[in-house]
Amino acid sequence: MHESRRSILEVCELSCRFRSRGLPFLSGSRDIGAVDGVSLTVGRGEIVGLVGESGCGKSTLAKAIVGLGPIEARAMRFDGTDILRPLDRRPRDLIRRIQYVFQDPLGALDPRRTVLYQVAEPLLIHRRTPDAERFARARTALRDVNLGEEIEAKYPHELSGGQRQRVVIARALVLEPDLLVCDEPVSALDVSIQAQVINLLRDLRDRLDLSILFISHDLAVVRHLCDRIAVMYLGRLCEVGPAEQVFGDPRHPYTKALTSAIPPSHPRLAKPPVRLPGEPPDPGDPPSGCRFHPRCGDREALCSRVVPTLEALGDGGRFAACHVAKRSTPAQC
Amino acid sequence: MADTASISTPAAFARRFWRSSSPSVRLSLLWILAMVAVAAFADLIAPFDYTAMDLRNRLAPPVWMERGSWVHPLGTDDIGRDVLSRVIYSIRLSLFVALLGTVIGAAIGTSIGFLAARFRGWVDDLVTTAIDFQSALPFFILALATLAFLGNNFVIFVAVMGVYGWERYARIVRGMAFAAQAQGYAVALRTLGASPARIYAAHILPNIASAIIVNMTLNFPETVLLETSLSFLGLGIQPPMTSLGNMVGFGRDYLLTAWWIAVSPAVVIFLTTLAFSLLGDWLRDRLDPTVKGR
Amino acid sequence: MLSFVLRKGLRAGLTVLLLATFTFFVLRTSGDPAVLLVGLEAGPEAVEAFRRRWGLDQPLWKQYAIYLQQLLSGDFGQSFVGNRPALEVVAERLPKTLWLMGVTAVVTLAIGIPLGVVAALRRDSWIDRLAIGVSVAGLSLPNFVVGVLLILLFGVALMLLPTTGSETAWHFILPVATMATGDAAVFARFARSAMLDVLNQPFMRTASAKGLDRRRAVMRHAVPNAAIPLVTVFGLYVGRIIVGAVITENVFAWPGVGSLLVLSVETRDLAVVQTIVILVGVTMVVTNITIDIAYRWLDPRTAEERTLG
Repeated sequence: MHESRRSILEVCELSCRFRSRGLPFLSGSRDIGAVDGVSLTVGRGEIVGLVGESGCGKSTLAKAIVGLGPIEARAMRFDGTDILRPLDRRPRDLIRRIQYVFQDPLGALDPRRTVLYQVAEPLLIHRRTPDAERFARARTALRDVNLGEEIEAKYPHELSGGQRQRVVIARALVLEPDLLVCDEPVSALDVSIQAQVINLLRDLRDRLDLSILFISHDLAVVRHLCDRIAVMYLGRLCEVGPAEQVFGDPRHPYTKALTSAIPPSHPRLAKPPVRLPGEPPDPGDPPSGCRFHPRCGDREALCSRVVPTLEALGDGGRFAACHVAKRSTPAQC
Repeated sequence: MADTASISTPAAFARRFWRSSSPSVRLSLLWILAMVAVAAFADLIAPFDYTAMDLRNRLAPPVWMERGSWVHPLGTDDIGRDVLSRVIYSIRLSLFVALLGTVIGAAIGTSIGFLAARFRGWVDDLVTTAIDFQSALPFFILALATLAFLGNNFVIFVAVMGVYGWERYARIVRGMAFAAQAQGYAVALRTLGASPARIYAAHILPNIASAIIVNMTLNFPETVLLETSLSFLGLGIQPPMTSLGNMVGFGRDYLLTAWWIAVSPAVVIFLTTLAFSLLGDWLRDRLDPTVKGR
Repeated sequence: MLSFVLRKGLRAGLTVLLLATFTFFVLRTSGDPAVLLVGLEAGPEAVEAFRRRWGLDQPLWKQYAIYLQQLLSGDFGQSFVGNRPALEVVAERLPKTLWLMGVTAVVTLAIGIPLGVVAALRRDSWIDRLAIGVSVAGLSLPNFVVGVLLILLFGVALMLLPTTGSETAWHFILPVATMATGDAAVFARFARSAMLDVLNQPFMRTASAKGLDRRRAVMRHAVPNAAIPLVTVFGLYVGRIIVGAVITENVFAWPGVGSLLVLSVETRDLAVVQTIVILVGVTMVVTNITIDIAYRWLDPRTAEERTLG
């Protein structure tokens, strides 16, 4: 791909299948492909946004990258080493370098341990620091996410939502990771607190050269934060490209519909929102051809038969998986 | 959860206990504390050694009866051993065996429950089958059979007491560990690189400890009953050691002539198990709101 | 329903098999079973003959198969008291025990359930408090303590009732009272909470709103519905009454299976112990399966099964 910087994470044709739960013998079991052949890279120091409706498979993809859940892929590499294996079979240092930030910070924290203990615990697990320095390091991490001393002895339920999420981020940061996978880290928070966390993440990237894969269904948030955007629909990527370009000039009909729903920066720029007919289909029984075609305004006969691949759209680093968009752009080798 | 911080100091705990308990619960706690003190300081309290014989004073009645004396306030048995001293040492042994049995049972059951939750699959199937098997049969009969087959000595007997009730701990812990594993914090710890041992011991165990403790307070009096019943039948604690149960057992032969030998330990057993079940009921209602009103 | 019974039957069979396996392996790990089962007094020829008869010269898995085969054909080994088949020794003691347990169960239910119903109808009255108080005591009072106290009171102090043996109807009174007091109170407690549940149900309120006579409403609707949860308690009760009988028989020198069990454990008459253990196991399993079926029969809503045996 196009990045000048070496990429830290490379995912090549990753799929995640779940066996649907049913009564054995009676209803038969079927495989649900929650993620289907997704390829994605994250560059060093880059923030990549992964957007899509809830249920489209973005969380599943995020969990697969940290090693939770079933994985099938052609290749998945982190900083050049193969990571195509579940969490408990990854080398410890690799686990340390990829950290995960949860959507629900209250659930992600042990209700019966203090903040300071939980932030220091990863250092104990990885034996990275002498015992004496452990708590000092944890305090530094808490300072880094703008939390004061007064919360150190508190329990998770005594904190506000934004404080909890910052504790979770601090707990990931003490391990000095290279990649942070954030799964809807702000969707459970108030709008004003969302901004604090977003600014924090951007600041951390700038200071620590952290790479971030940021997953969200909220396009306004993603637009503010991310360098590049990947749009996902029903387990597949439909468009990838630099954030400003994807938002400014969406190519895939689904992206167009999504971006038209964001409030514009200036009222005069407002376009009529594109309405999507129908509901997202059942992921257990996806439509043939292009998965978006039943809801697509531009669909052609080809769309229901042939699966569109994610192809470069000529200009700098843009990709889309759409027969129509592909034809309207001059082909490029 | 909100209680965690507020019950952490002993004084606050005592205040909460006093406010939320009834007189019978307070008396129960008092009696249990008295028994624990008796067990702990048996050597200081008991006027005689429990094996010391006073052959001139055989079958002496308690102090309030004719011929009774303050030398033996609760009388003596057939070979002139002081009943009060024997009761005191019996309390020590019965409570000690029951405590040991309860702790061993909690440890075994908790470990098995964790194993089932950790490995799932056939391990879990095996554990659930064993739990169902155990709860379908009266343990007392199995205990008798084990003592018959393996012979009786103190170690085997304590082991049998320890096995008693394991299936209830295992059932509770298995269920709660399954639930806890699915919780965010357990998954989060895995992504931080924590080993399963750390997740279970340092995080899940403290989170389910209150349920285990409640079950221990319910299990303890039942272990006392099991021990005293087996000892009563002569199949538990063997002489020269003495337990409340085997005192009643030996005293039964003297009901016509010296009833006090059997009655003193019988009353202690009754009051102790009663106190424990009152306290256990209260504790269960406090800590587990789902079983209220039973 | 058929598949339900089949599944339950399979589980029950598995439980009995596990129990038989347990006795087999515990016996094998406790020393030379030939010596243990024949007895030390028997000569080496007898031990040798026993070995051959039980196939103890065979490999372990084969012994296990033979053992199961013998059990199925009703051969539970020899008791070394009188050198008779263990099953026969147990069987001749069985009627006494069944009589004791039967009478006790009838008395327990006849006192406990009406007491619980009355306690529920007169909630918070003295009778309600008494029932609850006695039931707490009943659960924590061991049978042997009750028995000893009853002997003291009625046998020694008042000299009213016989305290050992089983010859006359008078002999039943103290053992039955020993076992029934606590358990009746426990049943009263369960019956009370089951009744309270039913009395708070909408259909009962409808019945009284329609002006139905309260007594008739209670007898017609409340009691039968309250009986359903009590059925499950009965499974636990059978276990309690078996253990209670073992202890009570020993307190009152009642010549039943319970005294035999304790005697056999003391003398290590292992064939008899094994027979009684398997008998108890079969009883429990059959009880549980009956209760499961009865429960489904009484309450068609319960598609969910209980997890007992």
